[in-house]
Amino acid sequence: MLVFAGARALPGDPATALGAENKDPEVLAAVREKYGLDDPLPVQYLNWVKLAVQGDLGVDQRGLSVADTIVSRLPITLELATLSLLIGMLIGIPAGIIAAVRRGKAEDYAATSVALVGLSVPHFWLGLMMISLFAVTLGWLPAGGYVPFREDPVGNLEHMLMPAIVLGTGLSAVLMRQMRSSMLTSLSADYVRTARAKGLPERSVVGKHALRNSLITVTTVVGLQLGALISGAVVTEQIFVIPGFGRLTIDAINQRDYTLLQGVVLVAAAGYVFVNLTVDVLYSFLNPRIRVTSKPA
Amino acid sequence: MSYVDPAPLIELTGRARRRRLLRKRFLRRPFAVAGLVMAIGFVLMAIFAPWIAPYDPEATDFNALLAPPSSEHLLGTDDLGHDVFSQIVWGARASIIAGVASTLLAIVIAVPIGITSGYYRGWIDPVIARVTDVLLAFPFLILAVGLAAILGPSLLNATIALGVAAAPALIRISRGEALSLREEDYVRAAIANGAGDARIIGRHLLPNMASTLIVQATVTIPIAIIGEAVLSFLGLGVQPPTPSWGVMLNNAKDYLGTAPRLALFPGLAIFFCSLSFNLLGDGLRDILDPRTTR
Repeated sequence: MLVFAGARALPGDPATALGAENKDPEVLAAVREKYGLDDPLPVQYLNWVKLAVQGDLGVDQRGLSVADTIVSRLPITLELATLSLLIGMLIGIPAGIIAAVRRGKAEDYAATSVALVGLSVPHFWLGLMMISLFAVTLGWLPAGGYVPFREDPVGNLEHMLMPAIVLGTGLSAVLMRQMRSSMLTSLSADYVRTARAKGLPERSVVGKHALRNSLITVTTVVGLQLGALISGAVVTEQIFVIPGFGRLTIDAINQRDYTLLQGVVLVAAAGYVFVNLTVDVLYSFLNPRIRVTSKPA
Repeated sequence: MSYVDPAPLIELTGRARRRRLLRKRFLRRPFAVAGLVMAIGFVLMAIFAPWIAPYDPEATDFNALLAPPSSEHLLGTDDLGHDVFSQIVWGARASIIAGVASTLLAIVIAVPIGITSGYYRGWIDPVIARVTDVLLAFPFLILAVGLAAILGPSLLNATIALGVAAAPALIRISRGEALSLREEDYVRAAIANGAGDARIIGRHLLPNMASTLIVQATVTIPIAIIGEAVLSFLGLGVQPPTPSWGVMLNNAKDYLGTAPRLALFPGLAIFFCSLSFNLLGDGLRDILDPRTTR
């Protein structure tokens, strides 16, 4: 309902946006009639919900099915998000572990400062700088655009590399900080002292005892960061001219395409809920203490 | 009431001692001090922009289009002959206004709601908590972009959009604080002494929430500063010719091949501005949060 109200609150009449050159009131009226824009808002809302439940998100202003458009755009953004997540975790988690283990040493300061820089850099600017260096000056990578993976796997990765690095570095900064602080907490816990007292090698104390418990908090943060990845994708796709979900969102807002915008936001919100649910399920695998049990009577 | 209550005296010295301790702890952190100095620098730059900038940021010099940095134009000029240095100095205004004002707006919205929810509980609490959850489900920037699109592009609207988008996170934090503080012994004692809600909130809740809120506000400011740049970059914030770092970047993206410095300088400005508040926020968290102080 929030989705619907939000989309309708956008100023501007979609009928005028459609018949931009055609100011003839009769044409406008016909357009309104065709898209049901004359119906009272509650009626429009009920019609939309009825169809959305059936998987039909309606037809956008260009006459294309919204569900089809989203299905065609979504995989592009999912690929981008997965690659960024991979880069973020590959950099952030090891860096966080090293910083925690070598706390107060040079490695810690280096990792912490780099993370702070990563947090403060505006990512769209990083994208622009990378385009200017790697695409324009050096000519190593394409400046933007998208090639489907099935047509040209190498070209696809070449196009995706820079956007994924731009998104992934920001994520790795957040993950590194989280990983460091939760590792520090678990490294000072009693069971770690016990493990050390038992004479276990440091490798297994850090790797098994401390790491496993730290990963729980980090999993949550990864889940929460997915939202940030989606917003990051909006801007990143704009810069690298990737025809993904984020670009679709901006286009829908700019064109006041209600049905498209509603569909986009609905799918984004549903995806977010799904991710949070997955994170909750993952918890129980990582931490047996929070496994759901029936309450004692 | 003829006797003098000794409590305020003791409290005052206690507070003064705490303040001195905090200042000492803060000054021992060079990064935090550097952050504070830089942040003050950016604020001063925003306030005194007309006196610092050598040129009118909207003035065009057609004899020097896309000119490289020189003694005349410190950071060069853009495609319309605007002096880049002057634009960056003036652009600090949009960033600082958007960053600070939207954070203040978020606090003004969030704290009363959070306290109502966490302190009074009742039927309103679950409602507020659920609505906050729903709003938090929207990524911050998407929420801000959507709101800015509804309100129409301008600095004021971008600030409002960023403030409203930042509010849900602050509602959750202030609600959590109010929830735990109301169970504290001193609050119970105050209730037992017959203190009214206004006194409890004013004397006990707000002062004890303050440090958490200050830290949270300091880390919200850089997010809002980058948010303003993104909105302006997308054409949903400050409108040209008004100078803003986001607008400058949007313009610069067409000249990446010929004049990449046009994108370099405003980006560095955004970076250092948000870095300064991040450093300050980290430092404040270290000295104010008892769990991380050693």
